Formats: sequence, structure tokens, C-alpha cells
Amino acid sequence: MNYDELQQAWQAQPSRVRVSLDADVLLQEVRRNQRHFTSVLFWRDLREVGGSLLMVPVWIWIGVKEALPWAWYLGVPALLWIAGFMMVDRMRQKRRQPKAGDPLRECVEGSLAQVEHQIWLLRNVTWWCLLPVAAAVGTFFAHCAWLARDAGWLVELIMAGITAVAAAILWGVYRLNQNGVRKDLEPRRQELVALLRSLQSN
Amino acid sequence: MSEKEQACLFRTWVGQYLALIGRIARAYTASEEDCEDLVQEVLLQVWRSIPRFEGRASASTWIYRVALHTALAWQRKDRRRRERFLPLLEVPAAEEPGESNTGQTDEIVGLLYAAIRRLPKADAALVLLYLDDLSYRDMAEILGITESHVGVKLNRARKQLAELMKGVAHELR
Repeated sequence: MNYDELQQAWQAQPSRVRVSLDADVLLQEVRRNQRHFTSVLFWRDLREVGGSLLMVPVWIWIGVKEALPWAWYLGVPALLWIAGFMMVDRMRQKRRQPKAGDPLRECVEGSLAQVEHQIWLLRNVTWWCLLPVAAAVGTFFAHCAWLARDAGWLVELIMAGITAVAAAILWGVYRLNQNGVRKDLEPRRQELVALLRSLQSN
Repeated sequence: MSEKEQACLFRTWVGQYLALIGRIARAYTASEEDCEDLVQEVLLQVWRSIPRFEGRASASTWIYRVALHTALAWQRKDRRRRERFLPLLEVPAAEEPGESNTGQTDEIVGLLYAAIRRLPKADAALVLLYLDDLSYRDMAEILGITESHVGVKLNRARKQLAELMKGVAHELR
């Protein structure tokens, strides 16, 4: 069988897809789907950026209510830095998103750049997220330990325990991010690299 | 573009290009469920992309780009977020090659889909455009590569397709 016959057979195939709703209902559903998609993105942004911002007043309130030492308030710039970093990053990435109507190679390049940026973000989560928090929390605990230096070994032990739990949580968050890179993003990146290579290679 | 114009264009495009979208979706998925889901996702992407359509490319080129990009980016786990919506489409179960009672054409088409699914994704896109009888210029415009590059790649992809067709036919008999 030659290529022309293959083409003829291909073009003679009946359409297998049928719209199960009338055009207006289909349109309504697509709009609803789009609204849902937009709201998912909005809530994701709000959760990630708003979560850090919301923590600021809570942090200050706890500090005032419990009359905590000054080192407690180091958490405020750390939280503001994380929220600001995520907000700027999200806005910059939104502008760089690949557009579905662009030529395929450009779309693939855009998707690859996005995935690589996500990988960069998660690989460097220590620097832009965990380290500021760890520095603020660590300084606070060190300060508390210094203030309580005459209170006896039991208090010192409790302080050490709390510090260890905080360190374990930060380590867990770090591992979670690295697992995300390894299991989801890296395979996707390799897939896109292969796709781009096959579009580019002669 | 007003929402009314967007809606009007969407209705027209669905009427004109649903079969094309269905063919692309079927080529990139293994089950009817996935196919239905991918068609749905393409329709959503078409709806979202309409405000950016400026008419510089033809409507069919635009639809091919949107559909192929969506198909290449589509992952099965994405379906979770779409499961809550009404089923918009029906994709009847595909007959396996060799089971068809409606003649040789169905069998060839079944073999073609099976072979296309085994091609690398970019080659599959090129073969789909070729089978739809698009010009080299259109293919280059859709894929974002040069016409001469299309020629080189298409030659290679067609040979690969022919080899795969033999293999698929042999496996099924």
C-alpha cells in the first residue's frame, strides 16, 4: 500500500467524536470549565502568597500577646520576603507562559522554560524560603536559650528539642520539594527536551 | 473581542473542526475515555485562545496548533480537575484493526492510529498533518520549523510509519 492510499483511507474515516450537548450547553460548559480553571489558579496563588502575608499579623499578634523578645519579630521580614518573592516570580512567569496558538516549537520551548524555572525554584527552595525562616526561627531560639541560660538544664533541653523539631520540619519541606522535582518535573523536562530535539534535529 | 463574538467563533470552529480535533486526540491517547478527555481539554484551550486569535494564521492552522500543543502537553493526571464537568462529547469505542466489518478502510485507519501512537510525539504530529494532506508550508507554520526541515523530517517519519504499520499488522494477525 502506498502513501497516497494511506492518505485517502485516513481522510475517508468518519468523525468519531460527537457533541453530546447542543451548542449552547456546550458553550456554557466550556465557560464553566474556564471559570473553574481560573478560580483554581486564583486560589492556588492566594494560598501560597496570601498564606505568607496572613502569617505576618498573626506573627505580630503572638509576639505582642506573649511579650516575646525582639528576635521573634525577625519572622516578619522573612515572611514578607517569601510572599514578595513568590508574587514577583508568579507575575514574571505569567507573562512568559506559552500561548496555545503559537507554533508548536515555540510552545514546547515555552513549556520547557517554565518547567526548568519550576525545577530551579524548588531546587533553590532553601535560599528563598527555608533559609530566611530558619534564620529567623534559629535566632529566636538562640536568643531564648541565651535569656534562659540560668534556668537550668531542663529548659535548655526543651529549647534544644523545639529547635530539633523545627529543623526536622524544614528538612521535611526541603525533601518534599526535591521529591517533586525528581518524580514530576525532571521526567517532564526530559520529555520536553526530547520533543524539542526531535523538532529541531535534521 | 467581545464575549458574543468569541462565543460565535467558538460555535463555528466546533462545527468545522471537531472531527480534526477528534483525530488528533485519538492519535495521542490509548482509550476512549482519555480521548474524550483530551478533546474536552482542547475545546477549553480553543475557547481560552480565541481572544488572542488575530487572523494572521488561518483558522485551521490555529486549531492544529492549539490541538497539537494541548495533546503534547496533556497528561492523564490532569483529568482529575475535569472530572466534575458534564460529559460534552461522545467518542464511540474504537474497533481494533482486523475486527471491522465495514471494509478495508477502517482496518487501515485502525492500523494507522496504532502505528502513529508508537511514533515519537513530534513525528506523530508531522504524520498527522501529512495524512490530512497539508502543504509543507502549512506544516512548517504549525510546527514552527522551516519547510526544508519539514521535508527531511517527513521523509524519515513516513518510512518509520511504513515500518511500524508492517509491524502492527503482523502483531495483530
